[in-house]
Amino acid sequence: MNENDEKDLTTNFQKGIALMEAASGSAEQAFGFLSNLVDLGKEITRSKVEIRRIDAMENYLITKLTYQYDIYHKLLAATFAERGKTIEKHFTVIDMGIKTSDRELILGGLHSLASIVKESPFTNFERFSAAFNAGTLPPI
Amino acid sequence: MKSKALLPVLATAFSVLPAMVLGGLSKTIKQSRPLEKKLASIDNKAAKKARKNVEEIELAEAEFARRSRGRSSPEKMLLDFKSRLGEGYGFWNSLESAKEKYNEAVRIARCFVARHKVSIAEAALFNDDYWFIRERALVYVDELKKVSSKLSVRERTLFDAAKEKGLGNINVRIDRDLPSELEAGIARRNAESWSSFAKNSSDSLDRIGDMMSFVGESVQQKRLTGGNTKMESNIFLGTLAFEAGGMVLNAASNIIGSIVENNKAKKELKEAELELVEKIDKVEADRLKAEAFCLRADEINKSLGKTIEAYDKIFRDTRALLFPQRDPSKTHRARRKMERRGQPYFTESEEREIMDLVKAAGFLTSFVDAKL
Repeated sequence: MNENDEKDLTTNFQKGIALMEAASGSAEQAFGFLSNLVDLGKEITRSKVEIRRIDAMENYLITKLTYQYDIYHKLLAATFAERGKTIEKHFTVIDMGIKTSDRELILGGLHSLASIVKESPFTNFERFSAAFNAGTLPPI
Repeated sequence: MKSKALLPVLATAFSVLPAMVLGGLSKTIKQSRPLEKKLASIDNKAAKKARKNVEEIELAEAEFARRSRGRSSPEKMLLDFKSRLGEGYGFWNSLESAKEKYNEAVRIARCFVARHKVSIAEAALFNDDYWFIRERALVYVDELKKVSSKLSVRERTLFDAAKEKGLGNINVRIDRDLPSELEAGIARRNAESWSSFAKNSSDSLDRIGDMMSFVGESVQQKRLTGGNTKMESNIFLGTLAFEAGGMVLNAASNIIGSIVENNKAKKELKEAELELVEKIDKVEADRLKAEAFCLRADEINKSLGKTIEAYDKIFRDTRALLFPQRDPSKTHRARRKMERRGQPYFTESEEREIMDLVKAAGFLTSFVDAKL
């Protein structure tokens, strides 16, 4: 607010008081009313700014959570689908071993199966999500 | 993961294993009654628990369907909400429209929570399924212990090494309190702020109403008690104008006050709306965890189930080889006699067969131990 604005405001305020005084017959009441009016203006501006700030935060959060979790769910599904295919292949080997009473085949299948299943896919997933959240994913 | 997708899991738990245990294992069962009893008891418990879990999933799914009926996915609802973020909270908007906007956010949040409940119920099913399959694996490992006591020292050391890998567990902490936390948050808002918003707004309106009726009453009273002469009337009208002018200004000030209060109420509603979005973020993080748990537990459960099947095959073959039905020289009694004469309980080739069983048991324990 510059000097001229302040002058204008003061003049308008004084005019307002005079008008209100004429209407109500009391300078005190007129002053109180205009003060309230000024406070209202300030409050409205404050609220507007605050609501806009919250809007911006909500906007960011909603965008982040919808896209982030969408990517995470897809990544999980793809990871487990891939592992599932490999696991199914080992199941086939084990089934064949059971059917033909081939112990080597059974134990070989179990060994390969264990090597996949024992390894948690979440180590890589955690690494990915950390990079994703930090924005340090390598370019494709 | 929808409940239909859980059918393979249930099939693993309640069709394949019992069929394997009660059908293919019949020979083993005849030789080992305690094993049959133990497995049957586990199956019964598992079936009861699974029925309860499936019921819970169905209930949660019904709630989710009810909450999102006629609407798109929660994500689409949220994105649509996002595109209209500024609406409802403007200066010219009524407090009611701000409340409506907040209520829309509550409805969306409840949809997310309802879907989260489905995931939690599914995770519970996978979790219980894991514990029952694990229990089955332990029954088999226990059976092996009986045989292992008859192994030679060298083989027994190998067996112990495999056994000492220990039987761990998979565990994940899923925040089951989140839905109630969110509901409590909404309820708190409703109980405290909500009623105070309503109270503030109706109080101001009441005050303005009172003020206006007081002005009306004053005018009425003055008229009734007013003077008779023109002069008196003028004095009366002047006084009335002065008093009424003051009253109107007071009333206007009160209207301003109510606008300020409404504005504050809108701001508080907006803050509550942000809290809801933050909660949705938490709910989604937890749902992701639950889904990841289901996928991983499914993988471990299926592998454990297949390993039990393979183990059972080796176990059955080994028993048939060690204790053939019509060979009196290979009964427990005959073997004990040989042992007393200084000969080994099992021959070297028999011990090799048993070691295959030990190896298979090692895989069983490794699945039980597998990290989530």
